[in-house]
Amino acid sequence: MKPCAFSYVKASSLDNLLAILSDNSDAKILAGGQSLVPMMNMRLARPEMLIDINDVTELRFITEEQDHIRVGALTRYNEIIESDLIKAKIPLLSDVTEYIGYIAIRNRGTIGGSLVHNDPSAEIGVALVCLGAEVVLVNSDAEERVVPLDQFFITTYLTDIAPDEILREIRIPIPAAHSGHAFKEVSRRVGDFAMANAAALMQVGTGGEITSLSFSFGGIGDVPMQIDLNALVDNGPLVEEKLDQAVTKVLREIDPESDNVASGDYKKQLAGVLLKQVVSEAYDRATNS
Amino acid sequence: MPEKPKESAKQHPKKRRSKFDFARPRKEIRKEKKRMNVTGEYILECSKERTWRALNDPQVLSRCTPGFQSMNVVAPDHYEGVVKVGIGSISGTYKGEMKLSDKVDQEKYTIIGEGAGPIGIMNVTGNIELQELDALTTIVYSFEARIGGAVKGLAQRGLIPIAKYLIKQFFGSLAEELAAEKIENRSAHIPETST
Repeated sequence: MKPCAFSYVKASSLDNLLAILSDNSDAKILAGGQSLVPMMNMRLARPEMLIDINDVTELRFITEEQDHIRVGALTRYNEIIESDLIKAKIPLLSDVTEYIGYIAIRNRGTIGGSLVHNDPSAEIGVALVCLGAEVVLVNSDAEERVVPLDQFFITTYLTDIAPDEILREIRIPIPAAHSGHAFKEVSRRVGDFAMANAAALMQVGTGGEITSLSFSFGGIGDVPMQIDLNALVDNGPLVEEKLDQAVTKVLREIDPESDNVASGDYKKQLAGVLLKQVVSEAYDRATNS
Repeated sequence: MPEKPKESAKQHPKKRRSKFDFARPRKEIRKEKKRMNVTGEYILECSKERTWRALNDPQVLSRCTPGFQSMNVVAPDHYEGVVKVGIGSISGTYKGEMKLSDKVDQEKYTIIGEGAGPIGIMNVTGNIELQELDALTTIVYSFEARIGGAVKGLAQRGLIPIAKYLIKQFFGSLAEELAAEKIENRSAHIPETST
């Protein structure tokens, strides 16, 4: 199908973009277009105006700053995968980005676009929630607002961004050295919407005990879910029995909805399997690093 | 899967059978509506009697409806209205009507509604039931929606959380409305009705 008629404006700089946006609050921002354009072609999205931000190079960067890395909203997935800085400092992010869609999608799709679109099983959101990232929003009066990512997601396709705001950058805290990470997902085919995915990041002390652990699920709830696994922290070396107990506890608390890729019951089963695999893999990496 | 209707086979006796003959006609699949169920409950710090009054007041209902644009009362318990809903990149203006029926005073009613907009049509049947416990009223709701049109594809992917979010917004505004009313009543020294 073809989209409905719309008008098109190309923003030349961030200031120009914010000025156009303040005059046209009904307009949609076109970044990579990997979610918006298919939705327009299916005529689900019918924006009256598109503001193309592909020339706004101020939004395209990866830089290190003290204890965190700043990634511009217009940074494409492939740029994240190829970034040596991210590979060295936040290997979880470069691993996860390779799971996103196909090469063509990764060449065009942007990190900011995916976060604002907020598909419940999008890989990047799951990884960034696990890493404890924050997003920086700016509005047309150049006011900045920093929102932790887990508060930024409201529900499927809905985020805490005002019509006159733009997502400028994502700030990701650099995990401590010798952290272990893991990410796994289950989908029908490579590149399909995931039925479920999970990410973990942990540090292990000298005695083999977990000193910090962060874990998140995607595809299980309406937004990426941070899961509390504090029972495993400071509780001696990780053994199968403890992990099984944690899985049972988590499965009691979650209640996935069925969707077009998997039923709720199946997703619940997947959640248990993924949790066990991802936590054990991250533990192995942390102990061997 | 139902077979191809026999009539059409009679109409075209000489027509060669294509490999799609046993599949359902595409037209039929396109017209079929997707079913979606949403159930839940919401607790209000308010007596059953006042909750019931609010849920039957067209003014209150219109103020609490997310994206409300206009409404007109066709007959008692029969409303027509326009709402504008925007969820991410999907937004549109929807026209619809709503009827309240099977009323049991301060207990429950049934909502029958239908709406149409640029991306789809929807028929909704819902039940609202009130339960009171220690000055709290629990509204138990269950809706069944049948969805058609372009939005049908989305129904399987993410429409339920969005519906739940909109319902929560509605009850959230209702709770605020009732709380504001309570303060007004107090300042006017009108004694609260107890049940």
